[in-house]
Amino acid sequence: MCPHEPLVDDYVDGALEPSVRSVFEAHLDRCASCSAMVADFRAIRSAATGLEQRPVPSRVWTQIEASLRDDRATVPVPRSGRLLPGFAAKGWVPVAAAASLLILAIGLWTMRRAEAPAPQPAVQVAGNTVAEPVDAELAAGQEHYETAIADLQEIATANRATLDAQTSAVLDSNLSVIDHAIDESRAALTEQPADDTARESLFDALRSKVVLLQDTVALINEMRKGDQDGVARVISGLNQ
Amino acid sequence: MSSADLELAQRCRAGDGGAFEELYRQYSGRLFNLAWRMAGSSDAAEDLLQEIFLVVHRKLDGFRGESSLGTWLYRLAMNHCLDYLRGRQAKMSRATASLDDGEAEPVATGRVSVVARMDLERSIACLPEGCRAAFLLHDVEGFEHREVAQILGISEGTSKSQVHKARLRLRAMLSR
Repeated sequence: MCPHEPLVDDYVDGALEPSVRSVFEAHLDRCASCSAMVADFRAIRSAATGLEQRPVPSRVWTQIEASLRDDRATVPVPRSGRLLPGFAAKGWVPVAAAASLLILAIGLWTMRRAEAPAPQPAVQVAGNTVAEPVDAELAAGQEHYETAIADLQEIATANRATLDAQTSAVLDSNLSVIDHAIDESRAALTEQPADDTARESLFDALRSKVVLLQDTVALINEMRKGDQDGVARVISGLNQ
Repeated sequence: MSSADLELAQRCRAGDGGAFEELYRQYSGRLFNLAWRMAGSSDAAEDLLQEIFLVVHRKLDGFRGESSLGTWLYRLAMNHCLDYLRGRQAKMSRATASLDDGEAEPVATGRVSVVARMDLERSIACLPEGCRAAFLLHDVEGFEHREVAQILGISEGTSKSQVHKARLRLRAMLSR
């Protein structure tokens, strides 16, 4: 090794004092080894300054934002399993959504029984008044459905900020249409409790609301994961 | 530290969400690419970048302006990257490379003419973590040895030594 080799890096970096630089440059005229090293180090440094700067995926900021929001709220944010020791992967929204799906399953089972009720005789009471019996199974089914809707709605509302304004507006508009259908069906059933068409309309509207809320939660989850393909799939389903 | 840095840090500390996003937009590109070249994969780099900025958010209260905001951020980022690499190495049951690994320096067998970008990327990925860190900070990011030393918690002399080792190794790999 040439005794002047320790000066190569500072020379390449332009960090030599002028007096030392001129002496080193005179040395380079006579030393093929140092001269070659200078040329190679310059080529490496030049290439290093021109390395590609890859763009940062937008989902990283989305996830950071969601994490900061969730640190202020209580719903945790999904983390990758590749992180440092001490950063445990956290559970997230599907736990609560699963509970709602269980409640919904019970509601659906009850609703199926309620959809084909056995004919019930009118009850003759004193005088000429006839009172229709209360359809207990229908009421129980509605209650289960509405419990599931309430749970899903709570999850969706708590995490709504993940969605952009336009998507939020579309979802609100869809919910508004479904709620209107629910109200109309209930009003019709109040006037005519035995109206099968009104009953079916109510069931359809309640089911639609559950599906919409499930899709909203799914969309929030996909956006948090930064999975654009997943987001596109959910939105495609919503548009249908 | 510049007054703009100071103002940005103060706004972030005051809970200005817009200021924190501004900080992110200003530094995320460079820190992402640093994490990518340290960790060797885009998936790991995304996770690391997310964690780095969450740590920045938590630790901004402790930033007192003794160094520039950029140096402070890079120090946090590099510590995170090195912890990740050492954790990965521990999992693979390999000996952890120290900053001064004491290995014999490789010898160039030819000349480095034009350095292709991909060849350099691949070669950087083969550097031991200590000299890779110093090389990335000095030759790629453009920090002075004094700043590299602050970021890595080493002496200026060690920073120069690590960059020299990195260049020798890269020269050997690129001259084949």
